Amino acid sequence: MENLFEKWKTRLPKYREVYKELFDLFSQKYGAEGEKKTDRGKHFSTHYELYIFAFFLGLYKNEFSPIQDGEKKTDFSQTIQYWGNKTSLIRKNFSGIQENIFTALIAKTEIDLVALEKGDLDEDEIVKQLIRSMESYTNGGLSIIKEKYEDSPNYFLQPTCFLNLILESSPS
Amino acid sequence: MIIKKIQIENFLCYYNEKSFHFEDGLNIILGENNEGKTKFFEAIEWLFNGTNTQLENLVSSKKFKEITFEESFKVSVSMVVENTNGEYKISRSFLVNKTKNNDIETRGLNFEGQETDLATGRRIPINGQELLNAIFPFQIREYSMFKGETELNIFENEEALPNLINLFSDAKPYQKYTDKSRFLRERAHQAVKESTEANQKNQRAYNILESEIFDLEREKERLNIFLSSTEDQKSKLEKNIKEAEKFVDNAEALSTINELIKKIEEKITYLNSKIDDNYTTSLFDEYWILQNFEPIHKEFVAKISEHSKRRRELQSQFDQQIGIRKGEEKAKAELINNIIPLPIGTPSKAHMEEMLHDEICKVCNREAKVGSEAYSYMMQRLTEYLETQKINDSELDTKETLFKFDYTNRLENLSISHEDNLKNIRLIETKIKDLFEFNDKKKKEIESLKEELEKQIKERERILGNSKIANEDKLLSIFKNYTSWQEDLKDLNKDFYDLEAKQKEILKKIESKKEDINKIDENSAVAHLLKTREILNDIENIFTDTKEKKFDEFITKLENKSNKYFGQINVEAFTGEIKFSKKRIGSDKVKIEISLYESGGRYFVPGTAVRTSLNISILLAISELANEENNETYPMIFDAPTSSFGETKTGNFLNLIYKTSNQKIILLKDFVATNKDNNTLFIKSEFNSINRKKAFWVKLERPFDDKDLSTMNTEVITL
Amino acid sequence: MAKKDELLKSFLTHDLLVSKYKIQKEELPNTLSDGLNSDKPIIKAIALIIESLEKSPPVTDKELRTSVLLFLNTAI
Repeated sequence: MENLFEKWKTRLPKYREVYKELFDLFSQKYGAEGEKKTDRGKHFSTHYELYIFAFFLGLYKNEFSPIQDGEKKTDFSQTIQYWGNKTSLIRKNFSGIQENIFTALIAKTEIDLVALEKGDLDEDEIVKQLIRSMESYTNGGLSIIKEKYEDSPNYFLQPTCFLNLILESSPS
Repeated sequence: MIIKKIQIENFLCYYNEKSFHFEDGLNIILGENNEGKTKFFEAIEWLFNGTNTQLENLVSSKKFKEITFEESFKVSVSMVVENTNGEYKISRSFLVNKTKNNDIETRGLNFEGQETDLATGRRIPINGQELLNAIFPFQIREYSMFKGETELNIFENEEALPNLINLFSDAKPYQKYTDKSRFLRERAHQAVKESTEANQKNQRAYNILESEIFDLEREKERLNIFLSSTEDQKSKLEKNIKEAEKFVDNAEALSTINELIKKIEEKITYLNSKIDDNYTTSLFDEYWILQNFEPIHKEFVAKISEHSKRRRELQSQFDQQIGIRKGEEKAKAELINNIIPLPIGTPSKAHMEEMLHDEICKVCNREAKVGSEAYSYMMQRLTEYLETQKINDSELDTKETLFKFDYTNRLENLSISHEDNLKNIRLIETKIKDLFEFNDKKKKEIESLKEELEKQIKERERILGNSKIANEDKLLSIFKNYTSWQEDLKDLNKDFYDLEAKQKEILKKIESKKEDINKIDENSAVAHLLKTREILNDIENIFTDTKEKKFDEFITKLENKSNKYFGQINVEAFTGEIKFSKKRIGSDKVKIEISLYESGGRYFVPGTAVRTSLNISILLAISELANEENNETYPMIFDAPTSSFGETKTGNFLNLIYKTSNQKIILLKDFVATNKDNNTLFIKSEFNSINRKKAFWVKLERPFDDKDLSTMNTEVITL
Repeated sequence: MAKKDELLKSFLTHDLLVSKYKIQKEELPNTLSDGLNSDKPIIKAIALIIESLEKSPPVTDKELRTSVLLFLNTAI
């Protein structure tokens, strides 16, 4: 049995460089937990957490916004397989979220599984499509966040701001 | 003795001659602050006590400004009094002139007395000091003039009252009896001794006993001194403790409240720590981010399910094709001469079945009966055809497959496992709600605790504010001191008890030695002398005891009268009583302690107003008793004795004072008010209802400049 | 007059008069003159002392002692 999932999670998804400031604003590169996080005034402990959040936001709100060719992209250091892997005194392991992202991508992306299984399509090709899909939803989510921030920056002063963003969005 | 007239001339703010004519009973002098009231009091003080230095400071600036060089004027204060013996005048005066440099020069300081013979009207000069001592003795003056409310606290000195009682009471005359009887007894004792000594036989024993008694007496005296000083220490300590007790109640309450406050703060901290507000983190750690994931999951499931079906479909079609080809090859091999057979399924299954049934080949029209070769061949053909319709995996050529890879299996697994997880996802919404509720509850608890905390902090401030020491540290240190003072007092009490025990022992020893001497005396001295001595001894005891009794009776009377006045004039409506308790230290020192007890019997520390009422009650009681005992009264002069009372209570007080006998001159600032429109002073109408014999108003002549003394001239208006 | 009488009476209330000298209350004099005429030495002695000390001008110590002792001499 072949496993698309295993292949997919070795990838490192990217985001548009214009959103770098959002990452710097809301999360801490290389990570900061607990008091450290609070001290720095960040919502997210790591960059990828924000990435995951933006993905789901875009997913639920159906903001599919592909990154144009030629746009500058950047990424962070952790491939998907490491996301949520760290357990500590104050954090739990949430690597299970990787599967959810994967299943969502499978559901939403037009991939020719038949062709894949026949061997007509390369595995890498499919994974590439999945990643592209991932980046597009995330891009959409990031743009929602950026818009909100420009609109009412004070919204992000509440500790429940990101929770509310997700809860308010129901998938269409 | 009553004061009939006081005349003040060019003294401080009293320009030229100003007179007050007083009557027996209550005389009130009203005046706004700094307009001559206290200066009046000071004038009388100067008259009585005088100061020889700094006379320049007593001179009326206004008068001095008026005169020229070479001119001079007199500064004087004089008083005319009347008592049972006649009318007298005392005056103190000096002359003032201006130097060339405009300086003040004083001379001719004079203190003179004068007696007016009521019969002839003749004025006889008397020595001023002697006259003053006669008509208004110093010890009495000490308890008759009070400047301000705090000066009334004379009884803080525990010896003040015994002195007063000795002054005024019935016990006074008895003093000379005790003195004289002691003298008589001592003389008689001496006589006996001399008589006994004449008898040589007893001399030595007598001498020994006498010296022993002498030593014991000395020891007794020493003990008295210790007792006295221990008593003083105890007194001081007790006073400190009583003062501190005012605060200690507060300090104890303060300590309790600090404990309480600490507990509340700890609880708040604990509750804060319990609040879980890691909302963003929980999106991941608790998978809250999946709350809306179910539809997506369903999409996934549907897609995979569809794909799986499609895959099977394709596979099946594929397999079917392979099966058909296979069947065809097989059929091909069985035809004669290897000729290409007709495709499988030609003739069709239905035709074949028909032909077999009819046992005839309807293509070539020949019989094919059951068991014949033609029948068997047709049957076989049909059977093979039917076989190819069944897909047989094992006959498939492994070289030829449709799907090289199987991703579906894993994907299906994902689908199933996440289907199980759906129920968890469905719980997320409730979990989030529960958490918010939990946090809210904690927050509400914290809020109500914070309210409680504020209340306690306010209470703490009130306690600190109520105590005269608003500094928390000082209060707590007083509390600490208080506890150690209590310890010290315990020790002192023990010392005192021991000393008293020792003293008792010595007195007993002295007694027994004296008895021994008496025995010797009895055996030798002349009986008569002995008897005399005995009677005189008894008389001395009788006199001493009677004096003591009178003293005690006076105290009881004083206590009753004081309580009577206290009940009337006490403006704080304190229901309790004054108690005097006598303490005899050593053989001749007496102290009287004044305490206040609430009706429950609890000791009470009075505040200012109650203390003033207390002191004035006692003074009035003493004065009244003195009057009853001695038939001579003395005036009392109070400057602002009730400043802490307020106007209404002062009014009540005055009306009560009015009823007491003997002359009183009271200076007040109450009942004087300012008219807001024209800024002038006036006497309030309430004053009309105040009972008094005479009333005056001292006020500065307007206009005046409060920075220029030479504009000050106090006018005396009789109301 | 009244003062001297009062003084005498106040002294005579002392317990010693009854306990030691066995003088009944009814036998106690009410005035100084009665006291001066008493046949009980102690009472008369006290009365004498009062009379001397209440004189104006007051007697000297010597005078006092003499008068009392003189009396006691005869009385005892």
